Amino acid sequence: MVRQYGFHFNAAACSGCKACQVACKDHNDLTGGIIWRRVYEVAGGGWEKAGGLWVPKVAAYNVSMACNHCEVVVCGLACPTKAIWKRDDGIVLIDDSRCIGCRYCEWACPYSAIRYDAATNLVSKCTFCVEEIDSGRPPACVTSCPLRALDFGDIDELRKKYGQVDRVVPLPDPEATKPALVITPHKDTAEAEKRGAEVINWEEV
Amino acid sequence: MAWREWPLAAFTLLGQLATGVYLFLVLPAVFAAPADQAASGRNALFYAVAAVTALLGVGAAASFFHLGRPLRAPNALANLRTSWLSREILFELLFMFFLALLAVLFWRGAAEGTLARTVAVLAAVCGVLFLVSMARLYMVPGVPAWNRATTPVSFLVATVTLGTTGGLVAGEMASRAIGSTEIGPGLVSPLWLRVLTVSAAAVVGLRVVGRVLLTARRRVRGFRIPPSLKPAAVSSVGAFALRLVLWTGSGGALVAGFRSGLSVGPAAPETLRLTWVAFGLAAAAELLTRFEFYGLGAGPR
Repeated sequence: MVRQYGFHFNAAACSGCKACQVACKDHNDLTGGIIWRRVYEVAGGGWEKAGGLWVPKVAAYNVSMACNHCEVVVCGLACPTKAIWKRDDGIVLIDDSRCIGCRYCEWACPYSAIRYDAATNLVSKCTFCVEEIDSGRPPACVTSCPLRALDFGDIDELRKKYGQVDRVVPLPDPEATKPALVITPHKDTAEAEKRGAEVINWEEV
Repeated sequence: MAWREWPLAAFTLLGQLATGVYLFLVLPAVFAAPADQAASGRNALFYAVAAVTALLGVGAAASFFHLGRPLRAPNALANLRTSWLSREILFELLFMFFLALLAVLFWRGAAEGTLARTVAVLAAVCGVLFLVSMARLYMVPGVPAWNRATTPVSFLVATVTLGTTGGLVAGEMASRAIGSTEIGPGLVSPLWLRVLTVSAAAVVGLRVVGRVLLTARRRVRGFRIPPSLKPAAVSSVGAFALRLVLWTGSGGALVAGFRSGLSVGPAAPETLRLTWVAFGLAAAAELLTRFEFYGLGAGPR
């Protein structure tokens, strides 16, 4: 029995092709403008003089992010209608029949995982492709990644396999929510803060 | 500026105005009401309580425009254990209930009784808890710009600014409505109106100085919002300058109103005009501030 499902994201392998984003949208039949998994392009830095030469000193990588099905469900704690709930296997879901579309959960989530759908006047988010999970198959984003940069499973197993990192720039402090997420950082991550790296594709995400 | 959040701006500002007017004008008036109070005084109290209730009602009605599914609004009370939004709605409803009860007591001429005073205190407690819940619900980890002490401080200052200036307008209008420039049989004494004027002017003045100092400090020492997966909102310099002008104008009108009150009386037409100007300018500044506040929480659309 899985205690808590989670995702592993390998930033070192991700090329930013956005196949995961498209597969998620296609599999879940999401309407225009709604994306549950998003690929953030993170970049910073510039030219620096080294001796007599100007050389590029940049930090650039991608972060693929969806709902992290956090252990502390801040969206659910904030929800006034108890529409957000957690299954026994840790997957966080939204009960559409209770949601009033107040969007408070959208503010509460530090990962911007919850999206308001103007077509339904309700909020929605990644369901971990729960029907696939229940049928013993992986989520659509994981199967679609051509570089195998995404993985899923019991978060304890993922941590044993990939380590304990759950934050890279520009992700928020994980202490508030304890996300079920493990990241293999890109080599530029160490320099990202120093080089002022930030998301450069807000229009897309 | 997040103009699309007008229902929330209306709900929070009308809620703060109503609670402020209740705390700074109506509550002192209830406790100051003499046992042999004239019927006109009781009428003034009734209309003041009715006006506060109406302001809360209009704000609550506006908030429905924020909801995607307004017909399911009663569901919002389902999570009192952990959701500050549920608590905010509960305390607002209780506040309105006690205000309505108070209005009935005043209508029946029981303004000076122990029962009226008890209900008035219960209403005040619910009003304060309503404000606390309102400020607390915005302090969420998803919006670092809100998850700071500046949120409750700015909500508190808005309540005091709107409550004192709005209370002055309501107090002077109530006195005029019952045909008194002395205000003795009205809502509150001329002395209390002067205290309100000085308090409002002090708060508006402190607000101008505070904003300038805070902005200067951030310019000198730098200011960085913690990392977030929401795009950072840009504060408008023009809107900032406009707010300073509005607050300064409001403060100026309050000082002029105070002087006018001393010379021709607190409820004289000249004084009332200046009070209206002070309230209007302060309300406009608070409205701009609130739209900027919602802009800081800019999330995905």
